[in-house]
Amino acid sequence: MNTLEVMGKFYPVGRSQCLPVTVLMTASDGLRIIDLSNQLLAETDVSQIQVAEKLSSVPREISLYDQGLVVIDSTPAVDIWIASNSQQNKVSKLESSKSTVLLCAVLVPVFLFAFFKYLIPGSAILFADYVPESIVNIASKHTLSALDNSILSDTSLNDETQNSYQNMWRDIISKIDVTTQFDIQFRQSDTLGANAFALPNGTIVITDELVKLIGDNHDLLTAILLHEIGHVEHKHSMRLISEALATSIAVNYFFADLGGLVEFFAGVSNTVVQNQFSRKLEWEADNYALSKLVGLGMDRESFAEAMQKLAVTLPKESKLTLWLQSHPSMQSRIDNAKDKPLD
Amino acid sequence: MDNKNYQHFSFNELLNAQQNIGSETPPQEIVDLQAVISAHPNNPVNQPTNKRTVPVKFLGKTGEFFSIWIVNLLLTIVTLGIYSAWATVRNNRYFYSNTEIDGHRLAYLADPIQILKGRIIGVLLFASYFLAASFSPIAAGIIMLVLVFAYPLLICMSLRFTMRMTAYRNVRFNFNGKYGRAFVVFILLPIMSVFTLYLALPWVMKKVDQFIYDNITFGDKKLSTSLETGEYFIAGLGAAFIGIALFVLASFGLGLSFSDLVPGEDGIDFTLGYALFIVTYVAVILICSSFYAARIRNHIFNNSVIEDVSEFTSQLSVSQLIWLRSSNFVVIVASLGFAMPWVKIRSARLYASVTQVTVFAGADNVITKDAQSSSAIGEEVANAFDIDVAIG
Repeated sequence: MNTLEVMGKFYPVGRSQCLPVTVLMTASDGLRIIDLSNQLLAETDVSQIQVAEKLSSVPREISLYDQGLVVIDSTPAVDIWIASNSQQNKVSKLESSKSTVLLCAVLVPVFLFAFFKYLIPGSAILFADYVPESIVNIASKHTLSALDNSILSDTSLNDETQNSYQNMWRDIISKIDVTTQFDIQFRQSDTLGANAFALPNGTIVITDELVKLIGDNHDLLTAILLHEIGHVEHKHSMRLISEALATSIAVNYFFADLGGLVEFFAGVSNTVVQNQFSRKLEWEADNYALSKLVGLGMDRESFAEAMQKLAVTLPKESKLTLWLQSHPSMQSRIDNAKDKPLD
Repeated sequence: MDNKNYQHFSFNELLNAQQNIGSETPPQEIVDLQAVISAHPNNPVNQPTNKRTVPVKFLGKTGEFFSIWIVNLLLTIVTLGIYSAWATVRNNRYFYSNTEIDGHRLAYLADPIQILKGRIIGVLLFASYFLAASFSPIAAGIIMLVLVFAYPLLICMSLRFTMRMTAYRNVRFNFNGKYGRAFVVFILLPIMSVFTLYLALPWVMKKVDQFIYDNITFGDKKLSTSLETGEYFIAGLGAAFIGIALFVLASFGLGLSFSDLVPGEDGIDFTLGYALFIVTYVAVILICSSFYAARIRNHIFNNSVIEDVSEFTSQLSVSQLIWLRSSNFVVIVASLGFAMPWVKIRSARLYASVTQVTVFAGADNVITKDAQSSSAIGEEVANAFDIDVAIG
């Protein structure tokens, strides 16, 4: 029977002592550990050993149940003996193959791209359908009351004006095919300025400032309302939440071992990725509004005009800040409304 | 009769001379000989601690680690994160097992399944927190409050896990910090330092480090520190001063170069200014945090001792750390993350090269202590919520 004899270090269980030893490894008898004066220190069957997985050229650590730990250099003969006498996984084989490593280096970016570009948005659409209506309702109510307590105040529009808008919109909503019960409310807000936003349960808030900016042209206000309806109908809030959640978990675990400065880097990339999602949803809502406008017999130009008027109230845009924004640039949205033929 | 002069004898020659003492040896010479022997530096009596100072060797190689890193990253992605537990263990093992002190390597003993379980719980808790926070600001507030109280517990559990998974000479480390004290140093003191306009913050940082390091044990031996509040004030106030001074200088310099650019309407200068601001911000933070980190690392290492086992020395210079961190940052960004293995290996190499350990004779006689088993749950929950305590 072939016996493998190697030098090693033996750490008897229970203390920090270390003894230089000779390790005899045979297939039938298992492992014998002999000190320099030829005393047998430990003897064990192969079923009683546990070996840490092979990891590059790191010395092999063999635990002898209840007797101690023996550490020996990782030589081909030793590795073969261990592989045939204990449970070992195959990862170190992959790691030691140059072609596998090269393949991985190519596939990692490809898979990461596919993951963030297709898998996360795809599963977000699925997730959005499974969120119970009661939760959507509670979420919307809590959000609105939080906003009411902070940046929103009561509308200063009189009842008459409010009613005329409400009647007009009721009429419009009845003409388009929607699955949600919409509730349109007015608020005043210095912080938001001319703005409108939708909550996932169908509550749409329009600021007095927006009414003052474009309220005299009903078609413009309708175009904006349709954009918000598009967000609700396509369950954008739920999709955005699940995309944000999936992205931050993925960034945390795929790049878990980055640490330190790179965390800043990952934070930026997280924002950039999420803004990509958010911009995609804005386009969806824009195109929803445009197609409904045409369906209602109104002009796509109304949407462009509304954007133009809003653009005046916003600060200048630049290429870098575009990466850091959740909305597409106003100019591209206007171009889209003007140029793109209806499909 | 002249007495022999033993002053230039080696210790072995002295012992020989002692053997050869006979009846004809003058009494004075015997007395002299005994005196020289007992005073000789090689006499075991004069080496009561029998200590030796050894370097910390880091033996990892960039190429090797790149292979491990990239293969495990791919496996993590294709398994949608499940394999990340195994990847973490392999990556950590590579660094522990390639760190050699006095002929023995460190060992990382965590079981991937243990980490996976903790990680699943961590992700579930984080997801519930995230969803609750997205759906209801009130729920978010309640959870934040719970987290404030859970934070010290998570830190203790996390430190205990890290220490329990670290072994040297087949003896595990442990961490014995308790919740009450952790709550004081991680929550109460930082809140109270706000009322001193953060002037007491260096003292709080000292209390935090003291809590962490004084609660570490190696087998049955305790690690103990003698940290100086003064050093924390020098490091903390120094870092703050450097940061402010650099910001003032930078905004002066940037302001000048800013006015050189055409203050046009096209927004280009705004973009450039924004980019310059980010670069300046990163650079300043990097310089002053390195000043603090290098000084404090040296201070902790130079004032820590594991009773009967070892002392530590760290001679990390501020400029070394600034160079390490800034070059790492640039290379990571330029390589889109692919240089991560190189960065981690060279960092480990630098930290090892500036560290020395003085090993005492007692290092052979540390007894393992059977501690309660520790789970990875605290560590993983802490990770999921980005709670991080680094141990030098």
